[in-house]
Amino acid sequence: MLDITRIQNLLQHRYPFLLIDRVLEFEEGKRVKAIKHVSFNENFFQGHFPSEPIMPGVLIIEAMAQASAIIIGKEEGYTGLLTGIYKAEFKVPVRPGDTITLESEIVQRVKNLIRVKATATVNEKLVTKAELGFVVVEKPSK
Amino acid sequence: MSEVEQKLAHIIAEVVEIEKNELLQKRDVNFFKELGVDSLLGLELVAAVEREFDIKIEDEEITDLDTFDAILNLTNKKLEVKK
Repeated sequence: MLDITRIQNLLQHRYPFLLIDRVLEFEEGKRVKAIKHVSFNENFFQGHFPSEPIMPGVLIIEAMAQASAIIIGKEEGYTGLLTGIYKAEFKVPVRPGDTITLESEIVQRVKNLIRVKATATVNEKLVTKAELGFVVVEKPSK
Repeated sequence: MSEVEQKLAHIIAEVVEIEKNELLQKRDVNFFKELGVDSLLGLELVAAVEREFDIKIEDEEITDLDTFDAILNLTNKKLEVKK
């Protein structure tokens, strides 16, 4: 299990763009299971939409990508960048109060190009699924 | 043209974003030097071929895959081994 402190040791993402709260399970290089609690207090709900708060699908994809980043290329000095989003489907709207369970599994690796299959569920119901492509590259030096 | 050749031409044309007919006219043309394929797109190409034919191309084998014919030959070899 990885709490938010340990997640921040692994991911470069920070507020307002760190979209996973806890990693429940992970097998490096293989699969990961993480959660994100969805709160009305998040900045994007102000605008999406004032009449009906719905979490933007692309941010669910981003949360999936961040969960995936936990298991992709964690060598010192390397980071994963998104190269593609494939077969994305948004089945059920995600709303404030939901807890999203994000699962991602590496299904293909060609040198430093990696493909994952990811799902997002709420109360065990599938809300979003997609395949994501990543390339592992050297982190830019400061 | 074999079914493998057809399928391969289709997916490579899609990934590289050129017309299938143009690709087939340039089957021995170097992807990287003359068809605008960079290293990332090269990997995407290999990945697409792996998925389409359910084969595994090893890292060491990738360096020689710089033309349509080269990929076709390797794909046929891998499919032969699978039989």
